[in-house]
Amino acid sequence: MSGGVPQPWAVDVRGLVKAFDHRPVLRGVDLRVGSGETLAILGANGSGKTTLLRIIATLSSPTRGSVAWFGEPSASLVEIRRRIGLVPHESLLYDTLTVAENLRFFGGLYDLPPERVECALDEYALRPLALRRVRVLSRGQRQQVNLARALLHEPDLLILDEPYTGLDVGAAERLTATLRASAARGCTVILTTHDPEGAGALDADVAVMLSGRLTEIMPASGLDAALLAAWFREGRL
Amino acid sequence: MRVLLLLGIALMLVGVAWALLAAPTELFQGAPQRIMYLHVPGVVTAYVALLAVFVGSVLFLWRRDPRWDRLGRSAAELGVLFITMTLLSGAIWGKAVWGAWWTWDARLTTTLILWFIYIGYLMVRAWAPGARGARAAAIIGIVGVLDIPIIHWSAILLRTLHPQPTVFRPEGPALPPSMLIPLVINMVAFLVVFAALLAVRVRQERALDALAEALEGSA
Amino acid sequence: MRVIRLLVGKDLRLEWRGREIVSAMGLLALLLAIVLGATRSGPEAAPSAMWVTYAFGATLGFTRAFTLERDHLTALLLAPLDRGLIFAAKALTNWLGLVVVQAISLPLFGALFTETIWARLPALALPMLLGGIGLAAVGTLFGGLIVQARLREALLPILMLPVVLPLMIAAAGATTGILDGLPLSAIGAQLQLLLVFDIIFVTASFLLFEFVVEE
Repeated sequence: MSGGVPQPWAVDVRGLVKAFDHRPVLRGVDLRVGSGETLAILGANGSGKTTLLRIIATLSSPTRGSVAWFGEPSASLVEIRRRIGLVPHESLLYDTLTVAENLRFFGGLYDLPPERVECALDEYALRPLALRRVRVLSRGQRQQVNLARALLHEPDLLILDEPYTGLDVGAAERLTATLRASAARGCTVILTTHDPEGAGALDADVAVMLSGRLTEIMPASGLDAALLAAWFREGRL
Repeated sequence: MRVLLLLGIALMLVGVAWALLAAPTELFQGAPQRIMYLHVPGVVTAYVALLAVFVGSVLFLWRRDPRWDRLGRSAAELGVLFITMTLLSGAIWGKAVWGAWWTWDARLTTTLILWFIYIGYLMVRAWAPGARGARAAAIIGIVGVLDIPIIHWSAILLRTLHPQPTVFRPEGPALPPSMLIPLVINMVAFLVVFAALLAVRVRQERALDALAEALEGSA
Repeated sequence: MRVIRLLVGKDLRLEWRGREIVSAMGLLALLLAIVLGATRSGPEAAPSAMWVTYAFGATLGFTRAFTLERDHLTALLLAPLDRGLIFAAKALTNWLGLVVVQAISLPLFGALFTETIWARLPALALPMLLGGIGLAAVGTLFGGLIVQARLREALLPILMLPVVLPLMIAAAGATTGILDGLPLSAIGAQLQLLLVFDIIFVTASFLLFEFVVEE
């Protein structure tokens, strides 16, 4: 092997334990996602997926264990947050403001020049919606705006929690296209989903969350569809 | 810890008996003045308890170690207990000596307001048990103590009727030794009992936490 | 600084679109002024009526402000911001809301209690301002605390009022002195207390807010 500098992991999770009031939700998760990779985490409701994502997004702190981002364990959380984008299950947009106002606000939060917002409106095909209040948008449109919000500052790590839920086929395809485009730009993508097939469309690796622990990462093609189907039926997923 | 409890009880018995029976009767106030032997130690212990809540709260927020939270909430319970005792004994003393159940005097007013603040602490813990309320309560515990000097200052602005401090004066206590000694004994007794009760309470909480962890962890 | 302007601007724009908070606070303030004025009016009753009104208006308004912000706090916590700035912006917004309520209730106090309010308005502004700042600081801290621990909104007045009681005593005392025609030097102690309260609690709330929002 050449003496090249090893690529730092985009996310390096070791022995992560998270308990709420003595109730353990994550029971020792180890996860290492390389820069530029796409990872889909499958798991049933309540398996701890959202908790894991929130910790990786710096919103929550571990009870035990450690998380390191971009191979920089000593970086401040503020610097790390600048490089992370999150699309959580709930919409983070302000309903009574327009799409443009929302994006301009978030652009300001990340200290972005106003042209960036204008660019984003075009890049994510939001121009026709720009002056509409978020309240009147459909779920798919809201998702699109949330995605634009999360990608506005061109993060190195994009985290999405159940992004495909409630989307029709067209919206789902648009989402997949955007995610693939981001991945192509070198962005690391981590998402959770109920749908193993969607992971295939993204060309993602897959890991399964089972009662607070994460299985090893497998390439999507290596998924044993029958095994997963059995787990779904048994209610383990 | 059992030693502490026994010692405290013993001291209390001695102190209270001395206060009620052996100590000399005060000239102007008469028998009711004996309440001082309970009122003053009570107030001192209450403030010691609030200080313990403060320390527990600060360290809990800083270190996130549940041990400090256990200290904080145990001390808060005892603090409210002793504050209540102080208020009641103060009111009874006031009624007996000045004929009024309540006067807006600086020290009693301060103690009353603190009672509300730390009842608030307990309410938060009751309505948000466990870790959810722990941080909220810790903040209250800190704010409460920070407020003490200001509350006192504002209470002085209101009015001052309290008898001039006979014990904690800069020139030294003005009580004759025959009264000072039982007072000190009671003071020590109260503090020892407080320490013992605190230890008991913290141990209880630690056991409860361990139980909860064992139950949940195996789920 | 720029961030605070951004956050406050967003809050103001949201409020302009919805007008929920100010209308609720304002309505409550007017009602309280009328109820208090109906039972006992006249110059001596004015200071306590004013400050009771401001305190309760504040608790109502701040609770609403935080409940509205509940989900969106995630977005602010995600951003590369110092947590203290989030507090500063929220406290500033809350304070502005309180100032608006103080302003619109003034005519009612003037009419029901005493015309002197108008004559002494410049001097009155001092305790009103200092008192308002203290209320906003403590109210923002406790409001955030209530949302974070998912406590009942009804707890906010119970938690907040004992803590701000010294501020109310000093502010009402200062107001009384001013309405009585005393020079500012006569109420120096009250004004000092207000200032000290503000300094201590703005600083403490700023520092403690970080612990309110962490998970």
